[in-house]
Amino acid sequence: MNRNEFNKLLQKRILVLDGAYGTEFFKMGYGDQPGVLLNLKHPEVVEKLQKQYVAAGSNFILTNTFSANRPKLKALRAETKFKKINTEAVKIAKRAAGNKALVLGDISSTGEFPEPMGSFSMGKAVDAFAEQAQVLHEAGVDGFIVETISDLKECKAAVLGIRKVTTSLPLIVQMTFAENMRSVTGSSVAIFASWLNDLDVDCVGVNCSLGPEETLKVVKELAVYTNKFISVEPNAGTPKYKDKNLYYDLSPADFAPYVEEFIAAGANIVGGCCGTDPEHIKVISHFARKHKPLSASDKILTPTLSSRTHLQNFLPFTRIGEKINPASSKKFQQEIRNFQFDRITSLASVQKKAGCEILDLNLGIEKLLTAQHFVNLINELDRYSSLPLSLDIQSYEFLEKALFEYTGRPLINSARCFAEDLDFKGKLLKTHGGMLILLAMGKKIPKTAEARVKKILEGLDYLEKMGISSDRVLADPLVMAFGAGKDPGITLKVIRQLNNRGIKTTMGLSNLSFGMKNRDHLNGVFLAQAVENGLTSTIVDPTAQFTANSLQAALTLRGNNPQKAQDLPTENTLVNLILSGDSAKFNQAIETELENATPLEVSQNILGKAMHKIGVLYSKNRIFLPDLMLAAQTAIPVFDKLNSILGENHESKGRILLATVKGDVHDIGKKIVGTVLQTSGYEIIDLGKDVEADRIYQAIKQHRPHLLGLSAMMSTTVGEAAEVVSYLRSKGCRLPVIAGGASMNEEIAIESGCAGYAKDASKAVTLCHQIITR
Amino acid sequence: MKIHIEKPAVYEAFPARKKFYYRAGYKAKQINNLELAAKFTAVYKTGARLIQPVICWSTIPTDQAVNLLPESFKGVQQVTLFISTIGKEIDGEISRLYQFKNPLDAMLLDAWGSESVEELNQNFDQKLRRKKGSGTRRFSPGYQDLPLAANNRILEFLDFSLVEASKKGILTPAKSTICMIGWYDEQK
Repeated sequence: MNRNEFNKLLQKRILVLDGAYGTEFFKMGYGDQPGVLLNLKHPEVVEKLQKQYVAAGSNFILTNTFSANRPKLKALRAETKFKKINTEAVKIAKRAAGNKALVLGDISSTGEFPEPMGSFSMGKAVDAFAEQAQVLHEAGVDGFIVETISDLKECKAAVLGIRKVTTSLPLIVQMTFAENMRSVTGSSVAIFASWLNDLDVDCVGVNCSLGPEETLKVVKELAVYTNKFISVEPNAGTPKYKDKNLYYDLSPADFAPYVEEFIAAGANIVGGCCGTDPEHIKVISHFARKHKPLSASDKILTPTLSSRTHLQNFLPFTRIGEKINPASSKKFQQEIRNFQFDRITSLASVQKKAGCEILDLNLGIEKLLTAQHFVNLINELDRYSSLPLSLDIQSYEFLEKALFEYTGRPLINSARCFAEDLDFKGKLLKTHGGMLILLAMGKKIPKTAEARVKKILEGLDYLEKMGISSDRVLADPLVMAFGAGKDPGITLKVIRQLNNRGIKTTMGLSNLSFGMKNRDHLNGVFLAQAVENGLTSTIVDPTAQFTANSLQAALTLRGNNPQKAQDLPTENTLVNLILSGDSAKFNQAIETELENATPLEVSQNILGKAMHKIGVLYSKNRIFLPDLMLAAQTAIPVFDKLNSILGENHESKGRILLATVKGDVHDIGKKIVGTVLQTSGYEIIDLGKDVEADRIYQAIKQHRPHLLGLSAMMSTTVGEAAEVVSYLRSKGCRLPVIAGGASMNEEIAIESGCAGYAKDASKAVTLCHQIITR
Repeated sequence: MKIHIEKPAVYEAFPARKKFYYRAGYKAKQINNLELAAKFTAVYKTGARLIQPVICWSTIPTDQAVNLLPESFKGVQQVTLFISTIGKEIDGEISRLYQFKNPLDAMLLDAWGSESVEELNQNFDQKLRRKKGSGTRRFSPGYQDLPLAANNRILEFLDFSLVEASKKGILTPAKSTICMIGWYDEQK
């Protein structure tokens, strides 16, 4: 099926995906082995299940390749069977589908997040997805589905990888969100949806982690922000574990009332994830037949820019901070050349506090830099939970590299109105998404206002023909230096004429006062005039007070209340310092504390309490996972330093052994928990992933920990926690055990013999404290 | 005469939410009051869990259905008589809810049950028509010239023990119906 046919079909009918594989294999008695290996060992089992889904009414069935990318298979020690597993999966699915259903190549996480949230390079991630997509494509899939992705950058890697292989097959992209409507690494549903609007995908959606009631909220949010088709695959509630059996308790009858709600909320494709079975699919199919998709309305979407964790509505007015620009400081330039980005992250933080919504990145000295500088810098800002970026990068190579690494919907600053530049920037916009600043000039700057407006209109027309709509473009009327005798009235006239045509505008304000005294006043007055003429954004020094006040006054008079600077999550200075990631200032603050308190007091009473407060902020959704990880990264060296001063006297709160259970190769979440526990004063011994019960027992004998933490992400491995506890007890080991992971919950943990369940890193800290001090 | 007893999948008696809302007196497509929306969902789940849909039916030549058909069926060659029910559990739950002073839930469940049995009928109706052609409109005793008490005769005729009728023809369980569809051309 080509994409056109797929899209036409979705305009006419509600289509049905299939249900779970892992939990069904478990029920069928094959839960003791990785599901993907069944493609080779027991293809008849896979085919039987898929035939049941087709008979139940699935219009699409997924290849049994959820964990069949190379990194995952490597972890499962089945890398050599990579091609065969994927090829056989397509053959099996096609046999099962016959001519009654279409086969989608199923692609999911590699188990490692791309940098900076994980250790995988973005290039490697894209290649891994492309490699799997290539095999599935050659084997004859009808389309692709990316699912159960919990990191936005990995989602991007999957899309880029698949689209490297083919642009002619339909692509559905689904992410997984928690109840707070954020992914594990902090991206909101709105960020995901608004960015994916730009990418070459046909349908966006949500699957796994949540039952239908919670998933419905995600679908409603998706519908607000997306102009793509919507797909949804909820779990059958939350998993339970009893008598060595995993089950989900939401019956098809309990599932039923939500199916129509999904459709009413805008879903075009409905299926099921963990715990759903052919009976659930029958129910979905029953309702799907009775409804038509919501009529495709020309949705007017709010223009937004985003980073991984911040979404910025562009209208009514956006301030783009200009301070990340080393033009006037040789020392700053040298730091950048040396890959020292502390000053940049600090400037990012200052501008955020001063009320900026977007940060302009203009390193200027590009001839002295390499692509790696941009890769590292983009990742560094991402790690610091940066505001969305405006990439003011002249070199095509560096710009492309920066966009490749960027997570979210960026602003490209800028393109001039001639074919070569528009072709290149347009291509980047189509591949990576985002918005573009379009300069009112070709190879030369037009002198009159009318000529500049004409240039912009030509540029917009050119982009429109490339498939880039004008709502993704900000026109720059060009601000020239008043001191060089240029007339600022021309700029104001261009703004007015563009505003009358409904075209959004931005400008580099500081050019106006170049080489003059009282720059703040000149800039401020001119900015107020530009706002009066309809300006919608400016690139500005947000710390210039007169300019900031003038802007606020001008916007108030125009009837737009200026957006407030984002509140700091807390008034505690030390907490804010840790969260800002400013290691130098944080170290300084700790040195000051050490003048009045002993290292032990600083470690336990001051730093420990600050980290506890950060944990509380995380658990209340005031900060997100990247903030938490940055805080941990900032605090750990200081803890280490204090501990080295304390030497033998250093008292750890306890020693904790961590392991991902046998058969499970996911350990991102467990690593996060380990890092946060470490910052809370615990000594961590991490045994890694896919760990046998006996190895855990041997490690307990060797390290004598106070507590064992087990992680299980997959619904098929969640039962291993019980096996480990049972094994330890059989050996006479009474060590308390806690459990966590995506498929774990309180009930299963207790049922498995654990002392508790840690939903997230913050809860793990509380739980460890309760158990160890008991 | 062959009498069939079918136990359709429960989802064949799951009504569309819109119809459920409407039957319960809520005329909007979406319920904006979140608490009320949650109540409707909870009641839907209760209903969906409780029902046990069964249909008893037989298709016979009209001359074997003396005193069972309305005047408007004149000219039809065959008739399918059917009794449908979603079981007695839902009646018990409705009574229990009233008893425990939860009239809103009781009323909603009652509405849900009515739409459920209608959904069951509609799906069976469509299934029959796919096989036998267009036929007459679906008809039930209590309309036109066929009194409600005719339910008793049809029950006796089909010999179906899961549904009972009072002298006046009121059915128990309450969420049960007796219907008929006439066929003009059995070959169609």
